[in-house]
Amino acid sequence: MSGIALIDESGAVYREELHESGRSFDLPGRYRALGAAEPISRVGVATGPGSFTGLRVGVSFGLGLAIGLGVPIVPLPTLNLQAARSDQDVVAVAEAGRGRVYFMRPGGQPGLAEPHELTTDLPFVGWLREATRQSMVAAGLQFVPDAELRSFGEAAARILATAGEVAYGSLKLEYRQSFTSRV
Amino acid sequence: MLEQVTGSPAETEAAGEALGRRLRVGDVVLLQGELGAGKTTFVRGVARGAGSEAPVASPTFQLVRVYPGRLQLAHVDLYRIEKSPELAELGLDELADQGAVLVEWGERLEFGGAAVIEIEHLGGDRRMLRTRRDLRH
Repeated sequence: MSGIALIDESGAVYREELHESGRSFDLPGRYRALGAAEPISRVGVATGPGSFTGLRVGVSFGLGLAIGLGVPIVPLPTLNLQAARSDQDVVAVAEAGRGRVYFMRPGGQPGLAEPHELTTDLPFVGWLREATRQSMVAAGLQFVPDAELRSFGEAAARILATAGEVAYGSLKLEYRQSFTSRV
Repeated sequence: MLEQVTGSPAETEAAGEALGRRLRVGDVVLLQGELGAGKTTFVRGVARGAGSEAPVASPTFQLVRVYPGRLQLAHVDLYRIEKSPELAELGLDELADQGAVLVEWGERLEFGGAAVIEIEHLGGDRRMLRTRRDLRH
């Protein structure tokens, strides 16, 4: 999933777009199409966990924009972004590949699990591949319906309201990773 | 564990080719063996079996070479990888989403469900190919 949003100083979403496919998403073109009428004051970028290429493309573009404009860059951890889409307690999830998901419970740290290892006490929020989503549903896990959730831009605005900037060179990306290093 | 002794580079390549014909998208094969064991020779066969006509060379410095074919084959060499953040920068998961992945110096990582093949130099042109774990299918 690829997305871009323009948020005004009050935290209201001026415009946002989501695309299912990453490869055909023309990020510079979609950025121009947002039609920012006022100077950009901050740039937020999703920092994962997420796909290798997706994170690198998004963060490279965001960093280029922030450095070029001389404005702060703010990391938006992907699971926090998903959790911020709901007002109730939810478990945020993100695709980890090979049938697994990254998850984060309210106030907890990110973890990695197979669908059957997750508990059914809280509903789930997150963008997953259809097969992964179906295996979670088959494991008895419930998702909050999209209609009850904030949009991606609204969730980003909530995080941006309190999130702090980081130095351009210190953004840390969480690539999804199925292997364990032995070096 | 399957053991196979090959008596020439051509036989080592043929063993690789047999593996290459079986590869599917999502397969990861970890190759283990010392310098000169014949890992790249084996990969040359795998690439042919995967339907690629691209020239195969050890990606010691590029770290990853991608060969198009019946399915995409990513040829990875971890010889120069010294720290785990460098491993993360290779995008191995994404390569496994796109096709099959063959990793030289595969002892440097653990990948759930990966096949593991060890190549040992027996002297002269003879090699021992030891399948410690086969493909899952």
